[in-house]
Parts: sequence; C-alpha cells; structure tokens
Amino acid sequence: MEFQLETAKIIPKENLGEFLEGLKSFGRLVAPVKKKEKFYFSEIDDVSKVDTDYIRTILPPKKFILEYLRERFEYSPEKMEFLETFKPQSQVVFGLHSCDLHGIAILDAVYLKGENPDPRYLAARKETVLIGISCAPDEDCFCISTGTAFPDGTSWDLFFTDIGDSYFISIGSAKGDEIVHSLEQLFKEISKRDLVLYKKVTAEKKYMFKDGNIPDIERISQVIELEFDSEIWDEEAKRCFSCGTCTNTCPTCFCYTSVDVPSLDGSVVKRVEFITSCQYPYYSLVAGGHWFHENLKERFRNRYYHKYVGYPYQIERFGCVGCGRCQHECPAGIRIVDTLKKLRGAGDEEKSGKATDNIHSA
Amino acid sequence: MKKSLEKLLTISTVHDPFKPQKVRIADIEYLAPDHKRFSFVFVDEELNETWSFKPGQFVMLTVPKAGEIPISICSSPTRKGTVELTVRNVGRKTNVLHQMKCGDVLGLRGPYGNSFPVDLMEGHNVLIIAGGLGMAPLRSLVWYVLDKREKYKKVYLLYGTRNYESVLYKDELGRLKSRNDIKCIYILDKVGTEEDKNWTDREGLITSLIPEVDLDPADTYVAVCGPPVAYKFIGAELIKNGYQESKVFVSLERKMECGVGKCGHCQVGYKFTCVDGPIFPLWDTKNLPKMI
Amino acid sequence: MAKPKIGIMYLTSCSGCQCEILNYESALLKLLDIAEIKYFPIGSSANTLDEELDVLFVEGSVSTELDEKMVKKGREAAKLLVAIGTCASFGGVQANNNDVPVEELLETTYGTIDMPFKITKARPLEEVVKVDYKLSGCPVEGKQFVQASAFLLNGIQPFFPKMAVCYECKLSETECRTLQGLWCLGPITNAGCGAPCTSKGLGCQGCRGDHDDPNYMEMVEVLTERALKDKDLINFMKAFRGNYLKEKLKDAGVEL
Repeated sequence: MEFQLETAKIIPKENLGEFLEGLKSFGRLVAPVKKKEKFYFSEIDDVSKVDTDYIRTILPPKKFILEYLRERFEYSPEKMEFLETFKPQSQVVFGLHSCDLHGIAILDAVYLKGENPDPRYLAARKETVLIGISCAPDEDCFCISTGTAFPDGTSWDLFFTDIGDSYFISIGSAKGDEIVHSLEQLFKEISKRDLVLYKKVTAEKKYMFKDGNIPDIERISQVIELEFDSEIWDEEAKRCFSCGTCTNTCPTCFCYTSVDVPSLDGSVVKRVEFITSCQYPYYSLVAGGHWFHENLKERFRNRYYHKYVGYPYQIERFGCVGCGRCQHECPAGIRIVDTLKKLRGAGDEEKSGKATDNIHSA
Repeated sequence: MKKSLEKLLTISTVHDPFKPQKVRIADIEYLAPDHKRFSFVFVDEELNETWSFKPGQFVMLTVPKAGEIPISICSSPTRKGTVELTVRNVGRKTNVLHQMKCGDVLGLRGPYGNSFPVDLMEGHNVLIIAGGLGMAPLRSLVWYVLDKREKYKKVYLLYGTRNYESVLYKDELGRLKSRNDIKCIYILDKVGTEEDKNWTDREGLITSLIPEVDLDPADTYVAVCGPPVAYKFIGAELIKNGYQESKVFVSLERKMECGVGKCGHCQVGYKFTCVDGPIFPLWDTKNLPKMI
Repeated sequence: MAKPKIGIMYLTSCSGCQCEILNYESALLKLLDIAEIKYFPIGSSANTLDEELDVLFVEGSVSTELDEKMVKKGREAAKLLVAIGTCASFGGVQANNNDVPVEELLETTYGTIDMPFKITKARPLEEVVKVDYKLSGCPVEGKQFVQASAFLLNGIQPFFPKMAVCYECKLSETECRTLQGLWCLGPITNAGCGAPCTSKGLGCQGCRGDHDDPNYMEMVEVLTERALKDKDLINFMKAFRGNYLKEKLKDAGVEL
C-alpha cells in the first residue's frame, strides 16, 4: 500500500448528519444546540438538533473538560486516604469555533505545563476529541486581533471550514485521521476547486470584522503596565457589578476555589472545586481579614492585567481569544474592546495622522 | 505545531500533585496566644527520610473535614525526621487544627514554591529580618545556615514583635543569643512589663535596627518576612543603608489554594505566589503592582 | 458519643423555611439519624428549650414581644444560633414598612391598634441577639441548610462565599435577564439559590440580600434605563431588602 500523508478531505454538507451519528462510536457527542435565542454546548442524542450556524454559546466548551463544579477527592477523616472519584468519559466535542479551540489550548498550557501537571485535567483531556468549525464574526467578536481567528494546529483533531456546499476538513491529529478513516465513505478527496475555495473563504474572514469592533492591542501588555494607575480603570469599574459573568463565560479563565465538604455524620468528606472569579471580593481574602484586591477597581483591573500581562508571562500568549463572551454577556454592558481602546489612547485627538514625523528617518 | 499538543497530552503524571500524604502530629508546642507549633511525622516511614525541602518553602496541610491551608515550614531541612509548622489560629480551618491533639492524622502535600537562595548566599553574610509570625519561615533559614555554618560569613538575626507575649520560640531564640556565630538583636514595639524588659534588647520598630548592623551591604544577602505592611518600610531602610535590591529576598503571604499554579488565588502582578514565590527579590516587590 | 441536639424555631414568618426543611425528606431523615431534634414546634409535638442545644435554627423576624422573648430564650439555650431565611437575616418582606409607625400599620390593617400582645417593627435577629451564621433566602435553600448543618455538626464554620446570582445564572446557561430588558436584581444579590427565578424566565427579586460588594449605583442606573423609576424602583428593590435599602442607596451615593 502506498503511504500518503493526508492533511485534508472534503465532506458534502448532506453527509454531516451521518458523520455526527458516526462520531458517537468515539464517545458521547457534544455539540452546540439552540435554546430560545441562545446557544449552548450540550450532549447530543438527536443529531438533527446540532446547530452549526451559531455565533457563540453562553458558556465556553471548557465545561466538558474542566467542569464548573467538580470533585477532587473523597476521604474519610479517620483514615485520611484520598480517593479519586473522577472517571474520565470518552467524548467528541463537535462544532468548536477557532477561539474556543485556542481557549482549550490555553487551558492545556495552564494545567499541563510545568512541574505539576494536573492528572485529572490530563485524563479528561486525553479522552476528548475536538472538532472545530469555521464561523462568521458578529459585532462582539475580535479574534482577528488576538490572533485566534484560525486554529493553529495545537489543540484540535479535525477542523471544518465551510466552503459552500461542502466542508473542507483539515486533519490535525492521528485521532482525527482515525475518525475520517472509520467513516471514509462520507468523504471525498480534495479537488483543485475546493482548495481555491478554501483559500478564498479563509482569506475573506479578516474583512468580516468591523474596524470599530476591534480593540487596539498592539503592545497592550506594556500599555496596561504603564497605565496601571490610570483613571480609566476607575471610570470603567464604576459600572461593574462584580458579578463575575465575564470570567465565568471566559474560555480561558481557570481559577477555582477548593472546599472540603463533610457529610452530615462526618464519615466522608468531599473535596469539591468550583470555578470562581477574581471579581468576587472573597477571592483574595485571606484568613485574618486581609483583602489582596481591596476594591472594585483592583478586581476589575486584575482581569485585564492577568489576561494581557499575566498569561503572556505564564504561558507566553494572551489569555484572551477574542470570543467576545465577556462583553456580550455583561449585564452592565462593559465592553472589553472599549476599555482596551481607552487604555490604548485610541480616540484621543492626537491619534489621527502620524504620531511623530520622520520617526524613522532621524 | 501539531507536535506540541501531542507532547502535552502524552506527558505522564506519575505523582498526583494534589494528593496529600498521611502525617501524624508528633508534638504540639504552645508558643504564644493563638500560636502553636505542630511537629508532623509521615505515617509512611520511608518519607521521613526521603522527603526534603528548602528553607522558605511551604506545604498544603489538610485539616480533616475543614480543608487545606498553606503553611510555611518552620523547621530546617538539615534536621530530618519531622516537619514543623507554626500556625496562628486565625480562620475556620486553623481553628480546627488548633483543637487537634498529638497522634491525630492529617494530610500534607508539598513542598511547594521557591526557597530562600541558600546556595547563592554561600560565601556571603546573611542578614535575617523577621517581624511577628514572619519568624516561622525564617526559623527554617536560621537553623539551615547555622547547621552549615562554615559556608556562610557573618550571620545576623533581627526579630521584632509587638510584646513579649507574642514572641515565638522564646527559649530557642533566647539560647541563640549566647552563641557567638550568630548575632541576634530582638526588639519589641513597646516595652511595658518586666517580662518585656527581660527579653528585649530594644524598644521601637525593627527598621531602627538596620543602620547598626555592621555588615558590608555589598557582600550581604538579606531575608525578610513579616506582616505585609512592614515590607515597604524595611525595604526602604535596607536600600537607604546600601543593601542591594537583588540581594534582598522577602517572603510573601497570599491565598494559596492549590500550591501548584492552577487555582489562581495567589496571583500577584503577573506572577503566582505559589510557583514564582513565595520568596521574591525586593526588585519584584517594587516593580510588580500591588505586591506589597 | 451523645447525639448533638438541634432546634428549629420560628418567629414572625410564613413558615416557608420550615416547610422547605420538612420537604427535604431524604436529608431530614439523615439528620434525625445523627442528631436529636429537641425543639421543632412545626414538625414535632415534644419540644423543649430547657436543655442545651448545639445548634438552633431560627426562622422569621422579631416583630412581637413574644418573638423577642422566644429568641432570647433560644439564644440562652443554644451554643450556636443560625438565622435561616430572609426574615431572620434582614427582616424580610415585613420590614418593608418600617419607616411607618407600627400604630399606623395596625390601624390600616386591623382598624384598631388594640392588640392582644405588643407589636414592634420587624427586626432581623441580629438586632436582638447574637447571631452566629445567616442563611438567607426566601425560603432558605434546603440544600444549603443541609450543608450548613453538616459543617456545624462537624464543628466546622460553614463556607458559603458570597457571589452574585449571575454566577449560578450563567452556570445554568440562562440568557441574561437584564440584557433582555427585564428587571433583575441578580447582579447585586447573593447566590446560593441556584438561580431558579431567572432560569424560569423571571428577573431575580433579590430575596437573598446583598453579595459582598453590591453596586447599587449601577443597579439603579440599569433599572432606570429599563423604565423602572422613583417609587416603583424603590418598591421593587426593597421587597426583600426591607427598609434598609434607603440607607444602602444613600451610602452608595444614589440620588433619587
């Protein structure tokens, strides 16, 4: 048999249902579905419910890898032996947008890099197949400026790009290849026309964003450090409810609180972890009563600081993938794009024209 | 590019960094009101020999039913056999710990975080500045340095507390004063009772002691631990007296919950106290926002 | 070892919290296995406050002379006293009209001020006795009651960090009611209820009181934008926050 490296295939759209049905043999199927006006990732029984034409879900797909409420251990206070109760489940998450794939890649780095990788995250992640799909941005999307508008190949198995009557399928991993081969009859080889279309639609994406919706994040890490004491933080934070919606809907936020919950009779204790938010005052409260983020402004600023200064230091990339969930869901209507612009000084009168004449000719 | 994912997903996790080991309380010493020192031994005896750490590191201690608390180790790795933790009764978990007795079994994992740069310090003077409960992690350093005394030049210990009652390790520190290989100066904020007078060398703030330390600042490493408010003043006084920012190390307190850089609670600036700290050079505390 | 003794008392209230507890049968049975319920007038016929109780849960606000006597007696008998429900925690709905003299209220309601016992304004427990913990909610959340009991009976202080209702609302993937244009107090209200109202299509009514840092200024602004103004706005916001709302708004610098 001739060995051939395969990187892409074509699937006609009418085969999608059968493909989704076929995915079930690789684990439970998770995909976006519609609930009233909103979308959310859900376990799928009936594949006709899968909605490939969505903008964003309320919660990011991280909830299937890093559950919002989870149990770390169970122990008896008598014996003090810690038993893991988590059993990873094989699953295929279908229909992730590029931003969410990047979000998972960021969580991978947080949880798996370094000296102490988290075995539970690893177990869950190993059992998860990720299949992405191309998308069209709305007014809250800004992945084009965070560099996450396209999957970069580090965190997914298959990626579907809509080229009209078919999907152009990029194969990103051995697992992805295995899936394609197991359902071989649904796929076609790429034609020259398909490739031309693929190149065209991917190139078009960058023109789908409206300039006004794009934040200025050139050198934003440095700008945020320099503007640390700016009154812009006060202005923006004034409207903030500390409700934590921005972080709870964020695909890269990973903070959690761990609490030991004893049973009524005290014979068993569960170590429970729940996703939390740096926007809640208790988050930085230590025993003895000292708050390390002492007020609303500091908590508000902390989110930006961590996303654009902290993550780059910790995992060498921004902690923001431009999915727009935080600004889309914020009950106070605070827009991360606008805050960044204000910090960046865009909109200032000096902005138009060249900042300095002949800056490179001196 | 594709490889990097596979590399991450094929790492093996031989040990679970979240899983505590069983430890038993071997000894409890009352130190001061609401302050006790607990000595722990591992139930798995082999660990008592193999488990090692460096001065300044911390552990996550599981108090049965109550949960995990981050505590600095106050014993020295040069003295194997027990792990000692000094704990103030200040919250819902430490409150339960303070009611526990010798023989009780708890969970312990770690050690975590970086340490005082004991290797860099070799061949130099060491100045140790402790305020209040800050003496706990520094006690580890004091004994480490004293047990490897030949590796270090002059050693100084400055220790300040509010009053005699709140002095930790009274007997031990009292005995240190009679040693000639370490110079100790103790200071109380306010001297009132007879007891106060017997203990202290001086009355006032710990910063007032720094000018009279007769060490060459250029040849001295400084280790500081104390209440958060003290760092600014101690740092400024050290700089004023010629000590170098890069050779001054402070131990910071934050809300560590996981100890391994996953839970986020201990973020300070762009660093995690639990993995990038808890020991930071003074330079960081000046340049990372809201560190001190 | 002797079983811990607990009590459940009620003052001026609708008894809804106690019903919530009685309805939580599976947990109640477990509780009975490990603890002795010494005082629970609504659920038991043998009640005493003459023995020392380990934990006493109290529902309702202190609104009569009798309430005051009972809660003081309960406090003496109990090592730990836990306020359950919004009335016990902040006065509840009945504290809404605390700025109107009691006589006037009686006159309006009963046509007379002549009552068989003395009636006072509705006060939360902590204005009368020392309260160790508060579990707010209308009614108290059964699950939280059981968890609090588990913590307390094991000698651990309960841990319920105060987060906005938005936390649980978003976790249940409910569309934001505020953004939808509804009146919703979720952003300033303490979670722990599981956001049942918002997930059923209502706005949060704020029954659980404030979270750690409620932004009243912005809440008023957001509600005003949704055409809720003046007296209606106050009435909506104070339904469960009682008359204390006015002080809170003043502290937040809200001018109405």
